[in-house]
Amino acid sequence: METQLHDLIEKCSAGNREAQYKLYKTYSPLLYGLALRYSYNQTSAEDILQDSFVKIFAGLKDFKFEGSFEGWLKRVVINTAITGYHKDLKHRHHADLTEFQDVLPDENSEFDSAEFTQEELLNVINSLPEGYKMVFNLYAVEGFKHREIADMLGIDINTSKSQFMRARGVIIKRLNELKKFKISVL
Amino acid sequence: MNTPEDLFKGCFDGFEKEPSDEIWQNIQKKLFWQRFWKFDFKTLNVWYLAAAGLILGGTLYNVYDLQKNISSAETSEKNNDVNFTKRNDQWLANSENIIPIETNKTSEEKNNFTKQIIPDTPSPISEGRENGEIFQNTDIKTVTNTENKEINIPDFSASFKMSSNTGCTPFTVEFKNLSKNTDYCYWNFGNGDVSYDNDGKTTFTKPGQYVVTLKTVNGTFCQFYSDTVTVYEQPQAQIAYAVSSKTIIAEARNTKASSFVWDFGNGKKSVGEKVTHTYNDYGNYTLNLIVSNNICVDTVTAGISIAPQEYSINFPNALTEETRFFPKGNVEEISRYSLKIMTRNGKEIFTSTDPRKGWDGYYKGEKVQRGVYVYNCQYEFSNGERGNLTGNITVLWE
Repeated sequence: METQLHDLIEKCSAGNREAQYKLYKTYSPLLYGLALRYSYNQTSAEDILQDSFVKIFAGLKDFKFEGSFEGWLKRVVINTAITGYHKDLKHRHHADLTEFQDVLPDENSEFDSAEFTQEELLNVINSLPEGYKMVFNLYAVEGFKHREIADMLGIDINTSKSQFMRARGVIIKRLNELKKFKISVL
Repeated sequence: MNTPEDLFKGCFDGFEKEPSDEIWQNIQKKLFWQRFWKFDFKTLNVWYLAAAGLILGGTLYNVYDLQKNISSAETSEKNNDVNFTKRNDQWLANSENIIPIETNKTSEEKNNFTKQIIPDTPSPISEGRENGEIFQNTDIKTVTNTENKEINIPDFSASFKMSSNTGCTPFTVEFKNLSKNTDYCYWNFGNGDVSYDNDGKTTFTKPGQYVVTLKTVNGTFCQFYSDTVTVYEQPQAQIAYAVSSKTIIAEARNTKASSFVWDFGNGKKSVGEKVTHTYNDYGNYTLNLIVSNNICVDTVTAGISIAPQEYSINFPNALTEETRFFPKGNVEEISRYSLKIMTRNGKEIFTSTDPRKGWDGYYKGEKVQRGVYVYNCQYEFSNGERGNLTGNITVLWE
């Protein structure tokens, strides 16, 4: 499998259209799923996916096979999403989650994975402002450390930590509300 | 049980979705243009040669043209264009045909330019990209950006009130915009519907909890205000029922309800999806069902007729090897019964008080002879009606 991938990457670097399509077909569902998590709607996710693949094909010759190829691909997508976010940040003010989003002491913060559908969870995370969503995604799903997130987003490490905690608080609140609503409808 | 982080990780790690086919087309286009614009000596592009040729050709032509103009300028013809004549190595415009050059904008106009309202060109979809669901931010006067510089933002707000926040499908809600000092507003109703109108209005066709967000913009700043709308499924009530004597069995059908209340029309009520009730008296009653799903209610009625039953039974007139002789009809309603079977001469050969037990054609352990026999049955039904039946039985066997 390793040599097959190696071959494919080389062919793509050389501009072989068929090889490029094969690479795209293999990895686009995973990378599209990733892009959807970092954007609010299909159109911007598609933009991120397109730009990412253009960068991927351009950067393939620089891929030195150190570390996972899939990890490298995902990193390109995330960086593309972050670049878009930074461009946006310059033009618009992104508002802040105010203090009263802290989790109440007796609020339930544990959940059964069977309680929510993927769509419901996607909606919950999409209800966060973009910066908070990004921090939460990077920390909780991608597993980056706050130091790494601070570097990637160009923010202070404490900002990353506090944004994550606030995002987490809002998510807990939303999930509990959703849970209550679902039970009342039964 | 999972923390929210684990919940999301478990759900989205490895989450895949097929993108639409267009995407690959777009990527190919971008790759092509990228190669086209990339100035790479290794892949010398035919287009570059052509472009270079054009530019060169154009330049040569212009130089040639300029030469021609210079030589003919000395003979300045009178026409409407501005003519330049050369005098003392200086180009001067013919004063009769001076076209004034636009003066620079005044400094005041320059300052106003920054206040110029240019709504963002995006479609509502990319607007939705920043549509974070946020809480009231009306008290912010100053804000810090990521470089920790203080910025003053204009005093504007985002706020609205709704006609109602809870309803049944289909649920139409109107939103009154209470925001102040905005350039424009953008509504995201959370159900796929969006709007740029000042006031909002949308219809929720599916049950759920929806977050409605209003984004207001002033200059390069924006704010959000959100509220929740809860929509329950409107149930539709239908009754199915069966009546037996004075008892009714009724069932609610096709409902999306959680609560069922029946009124039998005789002052008695019952709850549940399926109910049974026995009326005391004959009569016509109105059966009423109210179903509800939280705040959504539906009701339906049916006219029930509880009337005395007309019962009857009858007997066959023949007996063969395969059949038995027993009554048919409302046998289950029989409360008292007496059957006698006799020969034509009146000799009793069989009696029974059980309507379910028929006569098999035997007398004292032996099959009776072929021929015609007589039966007589006296009976009473559960409703008190009495009857008496007499007839012939033809026994048909060897």
